[in-house]
Amino acid sequence: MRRIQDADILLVDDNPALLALVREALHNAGYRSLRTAESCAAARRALAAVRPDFLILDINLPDGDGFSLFQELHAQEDIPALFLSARDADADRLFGLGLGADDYLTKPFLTQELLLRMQHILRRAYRAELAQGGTVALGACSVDLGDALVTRAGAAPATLTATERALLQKLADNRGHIVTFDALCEAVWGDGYYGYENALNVHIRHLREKIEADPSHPVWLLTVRGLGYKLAGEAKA
Amino acid sequence: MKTLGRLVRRYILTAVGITLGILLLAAGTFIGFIVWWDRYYGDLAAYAPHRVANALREENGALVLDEGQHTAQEWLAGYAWAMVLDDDGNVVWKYRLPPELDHRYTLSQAVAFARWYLDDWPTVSYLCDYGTFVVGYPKGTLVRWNLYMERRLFDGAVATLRPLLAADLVLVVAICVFSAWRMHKNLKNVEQGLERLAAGQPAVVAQAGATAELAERLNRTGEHLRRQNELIARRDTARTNWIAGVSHDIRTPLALIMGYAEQLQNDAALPAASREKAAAIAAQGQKIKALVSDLNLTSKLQYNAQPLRRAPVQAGPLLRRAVTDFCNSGLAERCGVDFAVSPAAEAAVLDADAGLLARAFENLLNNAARHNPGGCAVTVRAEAAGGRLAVTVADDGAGYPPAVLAALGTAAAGEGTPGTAGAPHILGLHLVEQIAAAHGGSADFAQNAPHGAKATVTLPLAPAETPPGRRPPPA
Repeated sequence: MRRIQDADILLVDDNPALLALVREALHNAGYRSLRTAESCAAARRALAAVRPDFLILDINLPDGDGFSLFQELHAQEDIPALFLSARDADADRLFGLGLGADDYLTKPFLTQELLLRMQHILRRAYRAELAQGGTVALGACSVDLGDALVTRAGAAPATLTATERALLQKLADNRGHIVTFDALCEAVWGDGYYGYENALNVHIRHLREKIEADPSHPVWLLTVRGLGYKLAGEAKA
Repeated sequence: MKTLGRLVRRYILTAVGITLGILLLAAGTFIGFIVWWDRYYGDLAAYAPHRVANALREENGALVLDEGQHTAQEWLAGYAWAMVLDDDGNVVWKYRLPPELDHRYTLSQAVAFARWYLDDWPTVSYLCDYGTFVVGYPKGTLVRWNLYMERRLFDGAVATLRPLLAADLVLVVAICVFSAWRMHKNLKNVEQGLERLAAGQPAVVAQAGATAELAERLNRTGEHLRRQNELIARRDTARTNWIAGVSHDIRTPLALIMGYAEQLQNDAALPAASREKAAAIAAQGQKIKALVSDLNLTSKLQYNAQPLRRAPVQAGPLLRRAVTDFCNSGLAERCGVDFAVSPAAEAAVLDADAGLLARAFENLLNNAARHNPGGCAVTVRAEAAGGRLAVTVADDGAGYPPAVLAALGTAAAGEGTPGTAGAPHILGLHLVEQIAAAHGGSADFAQNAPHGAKATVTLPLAPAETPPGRRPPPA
């Protein structure tokens, strides 16, 4: 798998209209390998034929429920999965996530949100196989997250530290969106490190020195006062 | 204990009252009888024997009745006869004395009639200086008896009287206290039953003692209430389930509507006007989605069908996340957000359901964006003081319509559910109130100065210190 869009996706839902909608949405987003199943039995057959890279599961199915289906599959193989269900109770959401699913999205959903969450899961699950973590293009500068190398036209390549790479990875995963201090701290140091903003500021400053043309007036790695940081979208230049 | 004291006092007062009442009644009856007797029958004789005796005097060696005031008939009206005996027992003066009595009296005869009767005539004797004055009443009109008692017995009776009265008093007080205590016990029993009833539990009071009937009725009432509560709970559950079911069933069709509207919106082959319409459909779909979620949650909160998943949560990251999610959503495109948390609020720890609180803040922020389509500046401030966290979400937009503020006031007071006939649509804000209330806090809605809406959510802080592993950020 070189690109996320190469992932083989199995979509399980009992509603043919919804299957058609998601299929079309994924197709439009560039995903080429899509299979669908309308029941647990059909899903088992599809799984036995070829192991998919990603599962999108509904919970209410005619011959069983998505939770047990996922449990059954999860016991054999670790396939990334997202529950897509009309059940919006916290209990269902937490149960699904507790089973080991990577995400839980309730219907109705925004297509864009489904795509972003899928991308996020796929990128994390298949980081090693994907084209080396991907490349982040920042105008004249480009960062290869795989080998943590910053290349800039007319300058010597710079190397990112592990912390800087993790920060940039988190920001790039949510490119165009604000990421809170807390989420960044968690991405770098793990859960429970709330309030390490000063330490975070130091790493951000170092990261800016490597990726920004003018680190004191950043155009890519932006501060959002009081909230966190944001990696500006590619359209901006 | 206060009730027991009151009961004892009341019992003793009642006992004293009853005793005094009976004594007064007896004395009154006695006096009344005497007065009545005197009025209807009067005395047997017109004048008491001693007055008549004193009216006799010696004149020229003979005894005469003083006739200055009354005649002899008047003096002796009511008496059968009268006589005076000298020291030797001879009759020296007489008045209508029957012939069989007119003789010399021996000492033994005198002693006998002085104590009892003279030939069945009841007599009264007086010793005067002129002799012994004796009057006789008509036969059968007077009963005489003599009292005598052993001295020791009399003294003993007098001496016993005081301790006996004291013992009586102690006994009465003891009986009063005991009765009061028993009554108190029974009443306490009933009171506990009432308390349980007020707390929504079955009364189950032991049916014994003076309050047995009361306890029985209480038990019946409790049973009645329990059945009624069960019925209400069943109906509430049915309603909550119905709403949950409808909201579940709406989700899949809505997903299709929104999904296809989005695809049409992004379809470059379509004319701009059609794409705009598709965008409007998608946006309305989002609104329905929010409404359905709010409706489902509000019904669950209203009927306590939503268990709170409480855990210690730091206020700073929670608020930052909520504001960031809002900024990252499409809604915030036209809104500027100014976010500031005081150091105390940043480190404040709530014992809360983080998901629900995030929902409350999401509703407040989305409300600002939705109702000010032209854009607005949103300010989010958080302060912590006095064990409470106050989060204010304000904007400089149009503000709340007066009807909304009025409806929120009544909804907060627990009068009915919003969304009933004629009420403005305040589901999202009502949900904020419910979530705050579920956490033991409150939500206040007001107009911002000079214009705009301002909502303040106040929540109690968790009693514990900052959880370990999370240190407060540098000030």
